[in-house]
Amino acid sequence: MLKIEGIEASYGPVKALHGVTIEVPEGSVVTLLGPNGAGKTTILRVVSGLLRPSAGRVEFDGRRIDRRSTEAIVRMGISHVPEGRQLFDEMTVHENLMLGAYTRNDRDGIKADIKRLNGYFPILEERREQPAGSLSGGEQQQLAVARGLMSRPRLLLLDEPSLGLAPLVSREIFRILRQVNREEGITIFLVEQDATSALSFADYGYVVETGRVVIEATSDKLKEDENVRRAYLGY
Amino acid sequence: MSVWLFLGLLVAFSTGIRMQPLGSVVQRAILAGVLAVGLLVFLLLGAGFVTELFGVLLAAVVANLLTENYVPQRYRIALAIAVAVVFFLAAPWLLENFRLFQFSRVAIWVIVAVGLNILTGYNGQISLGHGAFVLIGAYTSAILMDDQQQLGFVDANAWPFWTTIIAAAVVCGVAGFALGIPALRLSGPYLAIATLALVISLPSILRKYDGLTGGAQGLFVKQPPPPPGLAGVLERDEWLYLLCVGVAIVMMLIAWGILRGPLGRAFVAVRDSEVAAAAMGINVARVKIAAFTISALYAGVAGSLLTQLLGVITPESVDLIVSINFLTAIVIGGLASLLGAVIGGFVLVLLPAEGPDILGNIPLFPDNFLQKAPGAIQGAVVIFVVLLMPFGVAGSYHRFIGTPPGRIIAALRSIPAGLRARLARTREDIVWAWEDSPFNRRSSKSASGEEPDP
Amino acid sequence: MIEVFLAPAPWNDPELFGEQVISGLATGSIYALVALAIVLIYRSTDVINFAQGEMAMLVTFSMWSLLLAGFPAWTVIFIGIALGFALGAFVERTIIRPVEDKPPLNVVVVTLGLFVFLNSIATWIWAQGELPKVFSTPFGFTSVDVSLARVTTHSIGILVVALIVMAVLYLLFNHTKLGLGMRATAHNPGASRLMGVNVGRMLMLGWALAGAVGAVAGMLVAPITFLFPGFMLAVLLYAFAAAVFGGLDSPPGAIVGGLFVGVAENLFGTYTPGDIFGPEMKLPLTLLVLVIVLMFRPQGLFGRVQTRRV
Repeated sequence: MLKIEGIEASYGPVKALHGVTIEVPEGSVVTLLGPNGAGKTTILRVVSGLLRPSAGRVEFDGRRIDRRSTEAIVRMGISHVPEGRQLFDEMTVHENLMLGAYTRNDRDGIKADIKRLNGYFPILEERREQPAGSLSGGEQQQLAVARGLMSRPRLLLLDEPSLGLAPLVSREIFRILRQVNREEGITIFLVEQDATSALSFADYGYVVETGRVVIEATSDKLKEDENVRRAYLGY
Repeated sequence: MSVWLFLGLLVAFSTGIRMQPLGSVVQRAILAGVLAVGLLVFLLLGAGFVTELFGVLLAAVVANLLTENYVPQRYRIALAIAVAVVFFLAAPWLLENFRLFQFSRVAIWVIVAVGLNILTGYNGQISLGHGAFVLIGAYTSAILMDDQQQLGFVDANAWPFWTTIIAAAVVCGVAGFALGIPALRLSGPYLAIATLALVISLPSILRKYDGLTGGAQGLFVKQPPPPPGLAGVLERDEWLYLLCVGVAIVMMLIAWGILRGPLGRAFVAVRDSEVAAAAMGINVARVKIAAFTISALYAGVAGSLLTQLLGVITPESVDLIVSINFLTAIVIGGLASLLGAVIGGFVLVLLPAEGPDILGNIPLFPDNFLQKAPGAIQGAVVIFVVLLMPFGVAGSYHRFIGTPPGRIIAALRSIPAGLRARLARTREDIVWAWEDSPFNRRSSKSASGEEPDP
Repeated sequence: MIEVFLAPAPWNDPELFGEQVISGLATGSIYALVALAIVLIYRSTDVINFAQGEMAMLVTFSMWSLLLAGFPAWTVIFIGIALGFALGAFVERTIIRPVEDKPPLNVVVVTLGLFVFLNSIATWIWAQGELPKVFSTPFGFTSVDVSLARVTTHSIGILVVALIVMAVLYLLFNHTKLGLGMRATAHNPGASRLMGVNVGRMLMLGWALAGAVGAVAGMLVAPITFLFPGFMLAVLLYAFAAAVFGGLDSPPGAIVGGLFVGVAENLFGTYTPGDIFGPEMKLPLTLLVLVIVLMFRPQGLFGRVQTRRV
């Protein structure tokens, strides 16, 4: 479904990616592991069109999407839940969800989707008219995921959904994500620091270091891999 | 007489330009090329004075390239200073009177620009209201120099002109100090608007309290005659020129000293991050007030000189546009750079003076446009310079000089390839944009990702 | 003691007081409109548009020319608003966007340059004939009695138009998807992009709306002050005062600030002794009040406090 081929990207004079190739098959969960500054977030930024690659190509459903506007990419069915959540703090929970559905025009469908998502995230129903900034960290992350789902994506890009959350809360988020993946068939491309959770959730994994893919394998194989275990799983 | 200007500046620059590092041969060659193109353009446009300035700069760069290996640097610097001093002293006999007057004004605006640059460029506080300080300085001088002809109080005797310069500096310093305290609480845009309010209000205040200020007519002063020893040698205008430029040079040197010292470093530290500066033990409030005080003091000195130069001061002598132009000058010249302040001062005076003549020589350019809309040229130039050189002339120059020659060559080499890539990319972008556009029905439907609901 | 400072005591002549307040509210609502335009731009792009008044001036002059050419009044009003809209959009696209990621002073200088440029252009085009030019109002200048005060129909017209503009803006921002996108862009442009909001278009739209609102203010002011190239300058200053007073990022603040400044200006002009202050000092006095207010609330009455980061 998503094909990243040999992309290179840089921030000003600093090159962040040196030819990265990744494939995300439809319906799967693929995770990106790696240390800070390895370029994981950069890869997501390239996919969602926030950053233009200087070389290589990105294909979604067989159509080239690199160098397309973020707006067009969202409309094609890719939703990016960014690092640090990036909610609209002063706007209400409901307005945040409506912004998630910004590219859609079917009022009834949007209403139905909000209702459906409230099933996954009951807390959002309760907090409907509160400013998003007043929510707790876990609630904010739920809102960020819900907002990401509001555009009815077929591919969900998740950047560190467990960052700064208590283990119990982050386990809950992963449970919901698994449900979303299985029940709605939404493909998930996940960047995560917490390798244990990520590998138990994902089907396939890539390890990125200094802007290059160094290992790729199924989650089970990665869990067995000596280097991955030592560097990311800690046993 | 401008041939002399040409020769004088030529020698000064060719020898002394090493004071500003000129970069490697690559940079100098490019610089010479740019200047040559500018020279040619202005020559074709028949812009006499600006062409000469470009000629001087070009000759200086070329001379610098040629003499670099033969004359040691310290001799060049000494020689350059000597030539500059001789030229500065000889200018009254070399230049026409209106040029002297222009240069006097350049000197005055340079003083304001240096002061404003200390506040805005080095310390990061925006002021749109420096015209107000210039006016306060100008009126302080005018009131003190009055000999009871217009004002029936203060002092029956007119003060000597030079004491009023000091008095204007002190009065404006105090005013700057007084404004600096409330300014502590205001962030960027709020401060800009508050200072704008100051410069707008001052003229109506000056008109209103005409017992002190002479109201709308303003005040006339006797322009200081040349000192006794020089009375036979210099005319009054020539003396005023020497006075303005001399004071400007002294003020520049003082600013240079301040900015190199601990206070100058504190200015920059506070500008870059108040929190970090405070953590380093800098008293942020004191430093910011100091910047305001010094900056206003400079404007006061300039205002005092303005009174001496013009012989008359009215509430309109420094209006909103002039005040805005001070900020424009330092941004165009280059923020946080003394060279930038000097460039800004020149631009401020020469652009309105020479601009219409230059544009007037462009064929088919509407004539009455130049008389009716002098500000249009100025506004347009300001916008274009800021768009093209975001760090001002001096800032862009420093960046250019600071870039390693290898990278410049690489950048130049990659221009054709870059252009080609850009062309290809633009073509692709147009294709993408078309595919995404609502006009392209077939593709926009599939792009919106509308799949049948599962 | 009080009599010395208050020339005609307000309580002796309630009718005069009422008139001053109502006409103050009318001019105040013009300030509120221009302040709204300034706030619209400041919220979305963090730019203080010093050329806001001159943009409106250019549009109003164009309308004057169209009226002279014999176009019907309502057509001209419509064209004027459209022109203001287009001018705002054009300015944002051509000269503001390139400096957006540059040092903040550059934007300030660009709008100041635009201020000088537009002023000069208007002088060039329209200062050939006599100045100031008369600009008519569709509301007329008849006096009418409103309970205890006499006010002109134009003042009432101003109030009504200002209310309509504010209502339209309120509906646009709070009850349409476009408004949602614009608000989101003002809060967090990066995240808005991820929502599929075309951020560039929203910024351009913010400028365009500001241009249109400014144009409305211009055509409301011109009948009072007459038309000359600097006629928006005083209005712009009062509008700045209003916007800063209310808080540069708060639209309700701009409205409250505008009305306050309008009334304060009138009362200063009427009730301060002429030999010390009087009408010609009302601008400095109003600005003084503004500076005093800023001392106590540096972010304006309704503005958000900016957090300091290292």
